[in-house]
Formats: sequence, structure tokens, C-alpha cells
Amino acid sequence: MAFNILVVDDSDTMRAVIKKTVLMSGVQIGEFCEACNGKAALEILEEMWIDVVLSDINMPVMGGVDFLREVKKDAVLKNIPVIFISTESSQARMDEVVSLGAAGYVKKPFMPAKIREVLVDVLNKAYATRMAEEGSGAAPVAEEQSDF
Amino acid sequence: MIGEIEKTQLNAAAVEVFGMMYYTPVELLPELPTQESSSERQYIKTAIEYTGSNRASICFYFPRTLAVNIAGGFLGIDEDQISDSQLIDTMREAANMIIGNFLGRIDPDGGCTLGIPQAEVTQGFSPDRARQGDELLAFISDFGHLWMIYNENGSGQN
Ligand SMILES: [Mg+2]
Repeated sequence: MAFNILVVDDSDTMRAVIKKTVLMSGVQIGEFCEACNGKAALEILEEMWIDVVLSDINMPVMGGVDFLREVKKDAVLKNIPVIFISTESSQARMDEVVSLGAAGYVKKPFMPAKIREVLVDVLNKAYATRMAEEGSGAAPVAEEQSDF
Repeated sequence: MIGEIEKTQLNAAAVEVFGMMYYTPVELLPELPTQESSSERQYIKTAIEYTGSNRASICFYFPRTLAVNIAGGFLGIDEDQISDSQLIDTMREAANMIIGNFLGRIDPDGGCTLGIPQAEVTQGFSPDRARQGDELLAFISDFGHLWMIYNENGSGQN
């Protein structure tokens, strides 16, 4: 099973690094989409199915926390897991985004293995939930990879 | 004035960001250098501020050779193919990570909000850019000195 992934970050170079990390993670990727802020990300979510979003917090136009609030307000989008990859590393900020419904949190700067760990964990949970709803068994999301 | 605790945490933040993301060591110098360690002509000037329960504006001057080295490694492209806009983007993110990491250390309650960094390529750097109320700090790197102007009133445009 391949997953459609959306990376949201105002830094082109950070999106490129996250893309490289995800492509090396062993997760099977369908479509790989990018947005430079929360507003642009919502436009993509309205147009196509995305399995997981990896989002920055500190962005112009619409930051990651407001983006998550919009996603959670939408009856269709609210089940899409949103993982934050952010420099905002205070416990208070992490508690805030978890209470808003974030699926995971990776602090910048990060080790690539950390993104893989959180991504695989979140996708496994999302996949298991979907399979349970459809009444079939769950399979692992990623095969073993040793690129890290 | 930036206190010794803040300086220690700032150094820890810079060391972590440069070490983990860019594999390039940096270290805050206990004293300002008396002269520039290289004939660096261009810097990526990157300004960022935070507001809230504490406030400050920070302006980094990243030597261009340092920026080229880390952007090349970060993006996996040859150094002679890196554009100014890629340098600016990489250093904006570096400043964002350093100060975000710093805030995570000194502001565990999350009372401060980090601004959006702004950057440009600029010619040369002189310590005279630091004005009254500013604190000038210097980090040593393999690619010359990385300068930082810290203003706790959040008013600096150095
Ligand atoms: Mg950002």
C-alpha cells in the first residue's frame, strides 16, 4: 500500500530535506505533495486524498497550529494525521498541539531516523484503524530499511 | 544584557543545530575576536525576533563560505551551483532553529512566540554595527566567525 504525503514548511530547503528523509524511510510513497504554509496545504487537502501531513509550525500566512485547527474542524479532513516537525520545542507548545489533535511531534533539529520512527508509527496506527473499519487485517507500513 | 545562563543556552542551541543538521561545529567565543579570521566579503544577514513573556531581536551574520558549505551539504548539491536564494532560505531556517531551540531551553512554558526570520546577502561585517543596547557575540566555525547581535528590547535592525 502506498501513502500520499504532504509536507508543509515555509523553507524550500527544509521541505527538500524532509522529502529526502521520507523517501529513504522505507515507507511506500504514492504522491508526494508540498505546501509553503497552512493555507496552501488546505487547498491541497481539498483537492486530493492525503494519508499523512508533516507540518512546520512557524510559517507566514497560516502557521501550523491554525492549520491543524482548520483540519480538525472539517468532517472529512479531521481524521488525516498531522505530524509536526518544528523548532518550537517547549513542553507547553507540544502539549498544546497534542491537545489539539496532532498525531506526533518531531523537534528540529532532527535525526532522519526520528522522522522515520514517528511517520511509521503514525501510519501503522492510521492503517490499522482503516483496516479495522473495512474489516480486514493490518499489514506493516514500512519494510526494514538501513539507510539511516 | 544577555546573562551567562542565556549565553550558555544559546551556545548549546547553536552547537546542537549546527552539529545535528549541518555536521559543522560552532562554538561561542568567551571574548570577541580582535580581528576577522578570514577575508570574508559577504554575509547572510538574518534577523529574527521573539515576543511574549520575554522579547529580543537577534541578527545573525553568517559568513557566505559557511552558508555555502552547509547549504551544499543540506541540499546535496555542488557548492558552485547554490543560488543566493537557497543560501538565504537555508540560513533563515538555521536562525529559526537556533532561536527556537534556545527558547525551548529558556522558556519551557512557551510564553514566547518566535517571529518569521528575514534574510539578505550583505557586504562585509563590522562590529560597529552593534549599537547602544546591543550585545555582540561571536561564534567560531571552520569557515570564519559567525556574528550575532542580540537586543533584548526587540528593536534592533542592525
Ligand atoms: Mg518555518
